[in-house]
Amino acid sequence: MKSKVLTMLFIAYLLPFPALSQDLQTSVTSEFRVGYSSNTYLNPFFSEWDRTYNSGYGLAATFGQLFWDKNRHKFELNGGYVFEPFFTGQSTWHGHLAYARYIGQISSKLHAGFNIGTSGFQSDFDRNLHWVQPYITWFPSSFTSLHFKAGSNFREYVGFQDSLNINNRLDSYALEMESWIGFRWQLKGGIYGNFENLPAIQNGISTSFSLRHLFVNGSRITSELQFINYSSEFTTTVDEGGGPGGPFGPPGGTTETQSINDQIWRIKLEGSYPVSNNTSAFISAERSLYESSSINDGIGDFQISGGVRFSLTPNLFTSGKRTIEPIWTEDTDQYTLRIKYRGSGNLFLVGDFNDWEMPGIPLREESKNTYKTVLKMEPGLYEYRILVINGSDEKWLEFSNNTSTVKDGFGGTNALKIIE
Amino acid sequence: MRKTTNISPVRTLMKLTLFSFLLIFPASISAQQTSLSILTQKASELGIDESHITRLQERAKANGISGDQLAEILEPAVTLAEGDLPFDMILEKTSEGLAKKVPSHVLLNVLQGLQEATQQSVNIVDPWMQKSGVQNMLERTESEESVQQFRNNLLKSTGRALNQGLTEQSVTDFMNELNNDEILSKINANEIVTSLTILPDLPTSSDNPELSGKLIIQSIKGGFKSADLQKLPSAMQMAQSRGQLPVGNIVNGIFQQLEIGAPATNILQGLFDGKIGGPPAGVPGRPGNPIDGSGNG
Repeated sequence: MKSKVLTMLFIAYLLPFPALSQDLQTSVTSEFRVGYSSNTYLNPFFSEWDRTYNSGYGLAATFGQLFWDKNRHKFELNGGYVFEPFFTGQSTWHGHLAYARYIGQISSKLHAGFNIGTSGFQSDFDRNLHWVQPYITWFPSSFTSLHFKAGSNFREYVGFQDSLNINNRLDSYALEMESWIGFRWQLKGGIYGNFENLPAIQNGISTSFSLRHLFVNGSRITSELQFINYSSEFTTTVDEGGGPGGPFGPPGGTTETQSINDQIWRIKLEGSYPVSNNTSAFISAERSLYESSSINDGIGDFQISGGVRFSLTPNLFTSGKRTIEPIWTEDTDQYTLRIKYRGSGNLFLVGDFNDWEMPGIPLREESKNTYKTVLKMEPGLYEYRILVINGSDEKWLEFSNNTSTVKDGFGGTNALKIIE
Repeated sequence: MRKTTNISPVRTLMKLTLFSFLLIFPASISAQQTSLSILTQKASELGIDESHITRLQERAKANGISGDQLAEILEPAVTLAEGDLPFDMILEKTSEGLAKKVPSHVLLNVLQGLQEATQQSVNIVDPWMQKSGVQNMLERTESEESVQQFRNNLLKSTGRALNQGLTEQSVTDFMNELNNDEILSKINANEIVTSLTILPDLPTSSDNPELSGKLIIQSIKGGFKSADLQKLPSAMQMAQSRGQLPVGNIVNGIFQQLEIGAPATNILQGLFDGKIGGPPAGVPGRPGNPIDGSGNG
């Protein structure tokens, strides 16, 4: 319930700002995956240690993003729903995730902001997480970032391991670094801990290091090696020390105070292939090895999966300022310009084509919301704008970010078309 | 009596003012017409289409621009025509400014800037076109007529670059970089013009035009064609906006992708998606994709 209220508050925060719409972008991503894993710790969005879920699984997830960017300020709102059924009869893991993030650019090398979010998942037990984390990021070089964050996490487990209810708050901190070595190699590292353990950090600290290698040539192959170390003293509560991968505890749990050193090695290989501009197919394989001072033998697990991802960037918030994207097609000696436009008025092409004579070359409605005109053009560079005339009102339409544009010298921009 | 004495100088002053207006105002109108008609005649003699001038005159009148102001506005085109330099760009910009209802003083400033930049660009373009590598490329790909068109387009693009604040030296350096066998074997005249056209619009150009030049050169070497180059400025601006990272990161990211042979369409798409330049999506400072294949929610 709390999480739903928070989500609504985020949305309500954005709605009263139609004037921001011209700087607002949207994207939607969906993923459909099938796979097999021997431990839900390796399952996307699950990340809870449970080896009884040794099962094939499916996953359908859709996430949306609102992204507002103006000058030195950026705000994004992310939210989505995940549905993860298991083929051997276990309860489906499903729920939502939503978070908002603000980034202020103090200088080109220093950013500061906050991340506030919530997630709620249900299966044999319920897991609700809420967090707020201010952070600061420093870019000592173009390819290296250092990130310090500190904040509070509120965790609620209901019916965990049949009967355990957990409701706690962790005030945690993290220092992370990321560096790209020659673009292909990505090195990441982080130290995570809880304030309650300070200054005796050995009582609850985790570290994580990963090395990724990208092979990019149309298709993308990513290999990743990750090492996570948890050092902790804990009693009955499941406590992973604020580290990555969600709450984590040793199998079986305990009510005694213990000092434990857990180590996890993960190696992952993923390949993706762009089927179209908006669709990519992928396969992924992962192997993990868990070692702990509390057990004699290491525990090995694996996950393998494959699926498709769809990404769209719809223009949903265009009421404040409509943008258009001219599409040019060539047919023998003539060129056709098509524009999708939802609005009233008549459209005209004005530019070097017609010596900027107003009102310009009319665009006729070819089908609903699609306008076109056909031109014969000599080779050369042509700058142009699209004018909409509605009664006595005349307005220049703005171009989408995907349009080739140049500065017009008067403080605005023109679209550019080069005929070869 | 006192009243009459007081009013009399005022009346005299008013009469003098009215008389002055009657003398000066028709002369002013006449002077405007004269300066415009002299310029129009001169323009016509220099090969500027008379009907074009008439069209501009009509549009200027509709915008409330006086004949005197129009004469000033046309002066840069006439000056270029006198120097046997391409003046079309000035006329096009005039038409554009009138269509956009740009105030006449702003329009005049822009046109004067363009005129100076076009004159400067001759010093860059003509010596460059005489270079043997360029001559070979033109002989291979262009007709004699299109070579003249190529020169005009180069002057236009170079003038535009200079007018947008690039120095003569930085444009010259860039064109010298283009005069390279490897480059000239890969491109045609249009791609050279496109390269110059986008040069001032890259987000790096205001601070580091040399870096912009290198980026274009590397992009051409990496297989970017004219249509790809056209998209580069807006794609980079998008990447900068999405990632809020120093633009140097984005340029480095493109260099690295070019180095490993990534196709132009992939690089451009990556830029539009905000996925090129420094740390990738999902890390601080970037618009993280919640589903990035990392397996963690």
